[in-house]
Amino acid sequence: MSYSSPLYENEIIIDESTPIIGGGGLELPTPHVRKAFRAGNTGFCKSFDIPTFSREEIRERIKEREQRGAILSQIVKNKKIPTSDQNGINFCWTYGVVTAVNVMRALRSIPYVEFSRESVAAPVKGYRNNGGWGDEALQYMVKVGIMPQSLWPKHYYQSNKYNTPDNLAVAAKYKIDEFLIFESGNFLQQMTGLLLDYPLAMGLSWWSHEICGIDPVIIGSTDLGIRIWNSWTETYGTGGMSILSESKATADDCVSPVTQTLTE
Amino acid sequence: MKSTLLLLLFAVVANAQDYHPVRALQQQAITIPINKPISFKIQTSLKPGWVETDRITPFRSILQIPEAVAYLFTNDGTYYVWAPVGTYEIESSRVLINWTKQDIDDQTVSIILTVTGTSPTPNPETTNPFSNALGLRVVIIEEQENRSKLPKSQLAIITSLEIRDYLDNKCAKDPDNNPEWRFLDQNTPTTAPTKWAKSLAEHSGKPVPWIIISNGTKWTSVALPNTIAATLALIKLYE
Repeated sequence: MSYSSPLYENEIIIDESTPIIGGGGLELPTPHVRKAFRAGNTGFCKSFDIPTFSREEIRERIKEREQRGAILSQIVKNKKIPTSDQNGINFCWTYGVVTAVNVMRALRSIPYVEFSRESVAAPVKGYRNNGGWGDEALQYMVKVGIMPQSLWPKHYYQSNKYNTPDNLAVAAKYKIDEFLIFESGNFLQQMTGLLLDYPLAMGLSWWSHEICGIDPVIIGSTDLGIRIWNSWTETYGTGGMSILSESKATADDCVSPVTQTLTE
Repeated sequence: MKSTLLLLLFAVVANAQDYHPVRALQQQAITIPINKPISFKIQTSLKPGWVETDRITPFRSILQIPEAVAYLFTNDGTYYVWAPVGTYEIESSRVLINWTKQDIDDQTVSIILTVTGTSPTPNPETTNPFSNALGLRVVIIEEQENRSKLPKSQLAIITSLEIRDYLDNKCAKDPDNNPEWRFLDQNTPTTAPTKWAKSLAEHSGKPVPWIIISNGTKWTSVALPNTIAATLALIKLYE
């Protein structure tokens, strides 16, 4: 089958030949050991255990959904979900996760909330501008939740002054209840998840950066890749998105939110 | 409420290897009549050589409970469990790091829960979760874990732009102008008895994927059709 995914205008493809730009938000060089844990009082986290699709099936499914225009990046564009802006702070590991949460909410037609990523990352890192991993952010969002930016201002991380009992009560209304953990370095598993409409928070050691995987794509007629949604404003790539080749998209850490408490 | 407290003590496995051994899987069987909640605590002994005053951090813990088993967890570590007739395996594992001893303990326990008796017949009476509110309202209820088992034509409904555009345009709007349709996992937790929570309750006990459609004067609650076209045709009956 010879087929290439349609790209958005001026969309960039990052592969082995692309210089590394930015990053620095993962807690390197310490090898990350995934911290699976029990999630909430009624939910869970578990390993993604669905059998992976073959490469040929992946290509066929990508082609079928793209010909229908039914891809997650288009859904978030239609819902006018904005690209986030981590503003140089080392909290990509939370920004990537919250982007995945926003994609999941858009898919479910749950109204958009401007969440404060710093209300998660700051307490996890002791109010310091430190790197981390996506499952640390998810673990906190399971136990504590996340505040809207109306309660915890964007980019503020220096103290706990917004962690008031009233604000924490609101954060608890947005707890993540279920999420999935993907096998480290298992690209086909990531592609299978994306084809089942699981947005992925992907930690990439080569980039020292965490982003959200949103669409599976075919590059140059046969190669596979992933369209990602970065947290570097709309000015990055095309509307905040770009494409990673297979070698660049294979994640060292990969998680996906399934359900979040419904507050409405 | 009948409750049973289980005290599960792990056996000691001496091992002189550098790599930390996983302690032997411990298994406990529980049999309980239908509709009787069961409670238990999982308690483990300290690894030989460790003492209470050591600096010990739980590093990884995971509890795997079958989908059909409902449970609550309280702060004191007690699990309250309910399940339909059948046999289930509940598995708990955790890793502890002892910073004082520079050592790791990996523990796993398995509980075989057997619920006996006859399952009750579900109440066939249902209520429109959207009451008589005028305007199109739709909720599709799925089990995300089952997506890979759906026919491709039915999986396509999830991301169908045709259906999404139709619902965005035709559904009633909330005070913030958001269209009143949702695509929810059947296990989505809710915090208040809203229409969406009532939808999930109305669906309880029924198969997935499912669809509930209401326009305030008539409504339906049925299995989700197999194709985009059939789903759209069904929804249009309630426009």
